[in-house]
Amino acid sequence: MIPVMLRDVSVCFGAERVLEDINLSIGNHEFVAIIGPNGGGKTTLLNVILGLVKTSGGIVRVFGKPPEEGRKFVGYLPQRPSFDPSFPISVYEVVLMGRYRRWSLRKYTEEDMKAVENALHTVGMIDFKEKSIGILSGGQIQRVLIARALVRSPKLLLLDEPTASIDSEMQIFLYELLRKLREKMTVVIVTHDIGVVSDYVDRIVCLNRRIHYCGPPDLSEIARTYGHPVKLIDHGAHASVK
Amino acid sequence: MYVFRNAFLAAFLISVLCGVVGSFVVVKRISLMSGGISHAAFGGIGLGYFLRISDPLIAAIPFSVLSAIGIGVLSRRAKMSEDISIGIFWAFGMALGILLVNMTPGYAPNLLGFLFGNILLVSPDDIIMMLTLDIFVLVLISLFYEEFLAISFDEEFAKIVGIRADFFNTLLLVIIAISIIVMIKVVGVILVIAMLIIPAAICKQFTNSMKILMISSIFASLFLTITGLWLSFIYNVPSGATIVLISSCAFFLISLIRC
Ligand SMILES: Nc1ncnc2c1ncn2[C@@H]1O[C@H](COP(=O)(O)OP(=O)(O)OP(=O)(O)O)[C@@H](O)[C@H]1O
Ligand SMILES: [Mg+2]
Repeated sequence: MIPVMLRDVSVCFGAERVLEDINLSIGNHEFVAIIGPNGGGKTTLLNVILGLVKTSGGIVRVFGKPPEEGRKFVGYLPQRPSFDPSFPISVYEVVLMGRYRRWSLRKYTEEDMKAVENALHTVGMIDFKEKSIGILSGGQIQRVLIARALVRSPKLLLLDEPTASIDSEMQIFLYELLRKLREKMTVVIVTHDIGVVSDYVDRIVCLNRRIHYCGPPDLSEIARTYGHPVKLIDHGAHASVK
Repeated sequence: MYVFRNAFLAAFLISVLCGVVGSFVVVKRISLMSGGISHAAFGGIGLGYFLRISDPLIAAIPFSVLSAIGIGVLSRRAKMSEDISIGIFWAFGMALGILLVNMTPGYAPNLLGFLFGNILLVSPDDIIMMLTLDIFVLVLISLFYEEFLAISFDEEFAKIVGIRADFFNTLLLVIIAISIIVMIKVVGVILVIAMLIIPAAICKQFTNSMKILMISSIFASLFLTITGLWLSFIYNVPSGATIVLISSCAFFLISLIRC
């Protein structure tokens, strides 16, 4: 089953058309980057794949199923954490939620706990596992949420600006990690650092309401379809990081 | 003496719910919505009087459950901010209750008790009803603890991992409605929201674990309720109001010390 299939998808918020004529298929073990200006619809596109926003037309299939069913195979890192930082919960428990399965009597097994430890190791946050989520810095929270996405052993990994608030050492480490992970899963990331990402990905999708470019990471080609030099798009990254 | 035994049992039974359910109300930040549900329950009590049910609270159970579902659906669907539909529901229940009581011929016994609570009037039958509802709530929460925790912490992520967030949100509101029914005899429709949130709001300042929050809130609630009960007995003042005053003061004091 093909991980993502979008056909003629469009999304409107009120009168505003945010996505239009989106046709995109992403195959098994593909590593795809979505780039585009702020407000271009990248987060919305991920939300379409996750079934979190209603489309106003077109077909969405995730592993051949409607997104509400297909999303259980998906690991997701949101652009912004959507929880209350004062919530009484530890880092460990947050990541453990990523292992949730319906219809299991013993909710979490030995195996789940081992997976959580591994995921926390991977992102270098194992020493923080008993800490409460509220005391972490922005980049540390980002790492924990990456662990939460990875711990599911998803078949499709969607990361919305994973490198936005993590330090450069971890960024390189993350890209290397994704390069390894794509042996096991499909990886889609939204990013603004096109320069770095083009060394790693198979395909780049330029999104600004419509898909303006979809193909190998050929920077000059992208710059031409974009209408302005890549440097300028790259520059946009800093404006979006809050 | 047996009045006191019932009062202590009642204090224990409501404290269990204050701790377990109140913790969810506090961490999920739905105290306003819970206030709406508790005031809407008065409509059910009015209905109970109108239908001449010997214990009007029995009629309030289905009424509250339905209004909890109503508030949940309305605040999710309506294209306006949540506090508007909550505020309207809040007044709707009270207005309906007052009209129904007024239309009931004769005298409405215990009406003030339902509004402001009276722990000394809790009967053995009330204790049995409270115990049954307590067990019902505890079973539901322990069966679906992971789900409730996930939707309270991060609803979007809960949906992605396959939790039916709308269903569990509504179920949580129903549980809150039932807990409120259990507490009405003791603190009354108007004051019940205070008891639901104060113990958990106090304890949340000291812990980063949901389970510890629940357990410590049970003890905090027990302490506050019994202290209030004792003071109201010594000074011969209304118990519900005393319990709420003691609890609020404890909350103010601890929050001040902590900051
Ligand atoms: N819930 C919403 N209601 C109304 N408009 C929305 C909503 N979510 C997004 N939009 C609009 O849709 C457009 C695309 O938003 P989206 O978040 O997908 O952009 P993006 O490409 O992820 O941008 P960024 O690089 O800043 O993260 C924006 O113009 C935004 O205002
Ligand atoms: Mg975005």
